[in-house]
Amino acid sequence: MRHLSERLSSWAARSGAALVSRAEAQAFSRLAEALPVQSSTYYAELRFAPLRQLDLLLALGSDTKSDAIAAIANRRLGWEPSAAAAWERARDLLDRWLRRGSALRPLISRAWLEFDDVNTPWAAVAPSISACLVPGYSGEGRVEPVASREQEIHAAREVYRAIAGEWESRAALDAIEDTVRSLPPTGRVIHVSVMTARTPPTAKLYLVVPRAALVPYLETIAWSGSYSLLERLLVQLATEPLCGADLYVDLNLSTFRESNATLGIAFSRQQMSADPERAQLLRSLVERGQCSERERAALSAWRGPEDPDERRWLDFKTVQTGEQPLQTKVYLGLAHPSSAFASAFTMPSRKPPAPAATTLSSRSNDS
Amino acid sequence: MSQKVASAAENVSTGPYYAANVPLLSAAVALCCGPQDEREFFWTHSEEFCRDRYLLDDRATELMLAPQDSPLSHPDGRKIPTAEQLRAVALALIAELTAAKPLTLKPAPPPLDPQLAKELPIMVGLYGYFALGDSAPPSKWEDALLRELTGSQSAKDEVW
Repeated sequence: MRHLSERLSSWAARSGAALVSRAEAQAFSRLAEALPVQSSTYYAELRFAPLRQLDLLLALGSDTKSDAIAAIANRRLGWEPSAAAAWERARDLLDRWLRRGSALRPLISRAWLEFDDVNTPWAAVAPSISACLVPGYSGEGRVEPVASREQEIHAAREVYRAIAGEWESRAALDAIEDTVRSLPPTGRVIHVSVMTARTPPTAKLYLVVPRAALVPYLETIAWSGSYSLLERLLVQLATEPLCGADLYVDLNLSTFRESNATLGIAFSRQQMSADPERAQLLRSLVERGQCSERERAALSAWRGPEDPDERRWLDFKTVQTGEQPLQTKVYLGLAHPSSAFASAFTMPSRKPPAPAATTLSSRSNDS
Repeated sequence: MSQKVASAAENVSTGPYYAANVPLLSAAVALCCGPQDEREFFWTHSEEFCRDRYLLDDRATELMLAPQDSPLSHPDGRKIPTAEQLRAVALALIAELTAAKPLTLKPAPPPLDPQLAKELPIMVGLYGYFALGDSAPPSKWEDALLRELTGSQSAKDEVW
């Protein structure tokens, strides 16, 4: 079995547990194997010391087999009431999204389940849920502008409502409307997230915004974070040579107009062409005290040699919260061959009972 | 011929996506973009799906079934096709299409799942050209099809 958990364990051992201890890697493996849904694309999300935490994220495509819905209902973790409610949101979303002809199907291209802290007791393991609104979203090329902002607002609101369920809030719906309507012409919503595993289950938007338009956009929506810290971040770390003309940002809709407003600046797959090994970014992170030299060396070893059966890559996100010091997270990405074609050939875990069938091969056997 | 065999012969039918000039493409489109019951038929009756519904020969059937013996698997045991297995199917498709003449009929298109079809625009476009009488195939389709089906030279992974 070749899988992210194995990769993570061997990488953690090779890197002398610079970022992930053996115990953390084992906890990650146990969680990955206990989850009722599996994927071809995973992230292990790490926070640098002192806020060390290891999270697990997995992607589900619209070709996800329908047995995932029953598997969630029959899961063997997450039975505490709040966790069970989050799982029910995931089950309900998949049920409504994967159904042929459903209204959600054209709105969501992929869903993500995020599991905070792999050391969470199993009774409390619960997914937070994100949905990608961009058809065919991939790490290639720039995200094209939407044809209709009104349709995008409608899609973002409907997807939020589908994920949030009983946690739907008027304030979040209004925030979606305000923040999406104010996007510059080439800006776009990529993901709508509801952190259903957290209390309260806050909503987030992951956006692409032209660099030159980011500050005016944040001013328009009355983002209350520190503009001086943000501008320093854009000049010193999320620079144009590294990130290009577009910025990928994570906006917490619950706090964006409060003094503790956060903003995440992602270093995403689309921005890797200038720095495919992330060497330059890692050096910058070391220079700014975001990670140690030992951690840099460990992360540089994540990708490893080319392998036609899996890809490994690094994404990052630097989060600014009010006037607090920046916090950088790293995402260790791993994917098996992940064309939709590969997914079609991925055998479901449980075959449904086979009804009797009359076939040509049985005819030839008879004759 | 026994009565059972005669009855079976009368019931012979091919898949709703079957086009005689491109059987492997027909089977691949059905598996990837067909309605759920058509896709699930592959998993419940793999060999019948290939041989009987889509009339694939031994070689094509072997290629379609090879991922079920993949050495790669999820933690729950689901088999993941290897890059080599996907490439073999893609190359067989290219060989089939290179030798095929497009149908000139304009049959009613089968009910593709639009979301799944959107994920495989080159393959679906080729099905339109060879099996449904659409006007032109996608340009430079050989390389594009290989990339689309194997994910090679592209980063078609879901990204955060």
